[in-house]
Amino acid sequence: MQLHHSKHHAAYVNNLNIAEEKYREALEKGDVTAQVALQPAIKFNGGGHINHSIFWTNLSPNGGGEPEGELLEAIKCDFGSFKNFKEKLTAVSVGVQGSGWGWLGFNKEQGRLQIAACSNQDPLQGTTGLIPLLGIDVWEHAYYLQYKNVRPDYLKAIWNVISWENVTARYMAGKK
Amino acid sequence: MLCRAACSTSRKLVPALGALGSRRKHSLPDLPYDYGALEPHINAQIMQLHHSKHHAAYVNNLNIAEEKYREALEKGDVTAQVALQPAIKFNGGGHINHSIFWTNLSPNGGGEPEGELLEAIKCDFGSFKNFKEKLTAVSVGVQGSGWGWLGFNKEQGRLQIAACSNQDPLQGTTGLIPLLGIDVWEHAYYLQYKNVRPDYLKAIWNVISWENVTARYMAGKK
Repeated sequence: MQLHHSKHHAAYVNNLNIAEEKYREALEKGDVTAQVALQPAIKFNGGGHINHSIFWTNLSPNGGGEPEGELLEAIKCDFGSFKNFKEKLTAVSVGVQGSGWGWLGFNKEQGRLQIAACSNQDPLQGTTGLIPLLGIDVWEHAYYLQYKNVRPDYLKAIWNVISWENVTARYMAGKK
Repeated sequence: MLCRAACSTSRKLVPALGALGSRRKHSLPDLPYDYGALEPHINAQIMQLHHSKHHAAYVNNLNIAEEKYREALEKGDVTAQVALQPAIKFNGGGHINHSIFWTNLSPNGGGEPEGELLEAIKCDFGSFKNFKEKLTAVSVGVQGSGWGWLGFNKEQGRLQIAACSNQDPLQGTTGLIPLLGIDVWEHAYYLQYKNVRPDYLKAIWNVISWENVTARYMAGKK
């Protein structure tokens, strides 16, 4: 947690600020080439900042268990059962090849929940339009020191610290 | 032992079953040195996990994917073939890349290349120092998982530095002949170097086998 927050996330923040500053200059000059060249840095570091900011709130020492109320109803509606949903998000997260994230997102247009995977730090909403509710970071830095190559063990464990309160709050906000 | 390690894949013939003919499976190549041999630059725990878990998984999953692909071919099922492409590329690339990597490293490595390879490096990068800085920068700069490569462009007769994402194999995706690969997936360094990938890059130059890189270059030029 310490490395993840104080080193990895901090680096995304710093590098995002640097990239945005350069982007401002390029905009000022009307320099399209420079803007396009800066896009990967904005997407990577901006995505990293967005994703991790969501992630820290998705987790809680008081987390675990299952959701209730409207979110649980929506999960049953769109995945059949909480168990099915959990298995699906776990499988998608374990199956990410390389670095990336597994996501529970809300498709506002169709009014339904969806599971998606993103590569690297691609932000869910910016790349798919889905509103991010719950993210599972499966970059190796998120688990390697403790779980080594056994990503499935990390996935088993993380369900114990999911803050359904936070995921619900994001869902309710997304529906408005 | 050196010969076995220098081969990109070692294959064992498995007895024929049914109409599909003989099946040749990929197998995990032996490491040419002990897990602890590259210390202090790359520690034993990383080498053991990297070789016996990560590379082994690519080999196993490649064999499974190739088996499914054989069935799809047999049925003329294009949809299934296309669906299997990512698994072949990922696990096949992982197997190729790591098989090269183990031979690129050596407990007797480090220093600088000599002879024809050094001349080519000077020619295409200006100096060994420039080349080293360039490959380091490209490897450090990979966003996410991937590899930094020194490759040989046979068509143009020159050395090139390239980065590949995930386990995309250099030759299959760019046509460059792989000479030296730097694995920058976090599993390659995290246990020892944590988030400080640049420190891993600094260290790895101490265990590069220029003998092996040269052999690949000479073979590529033929």
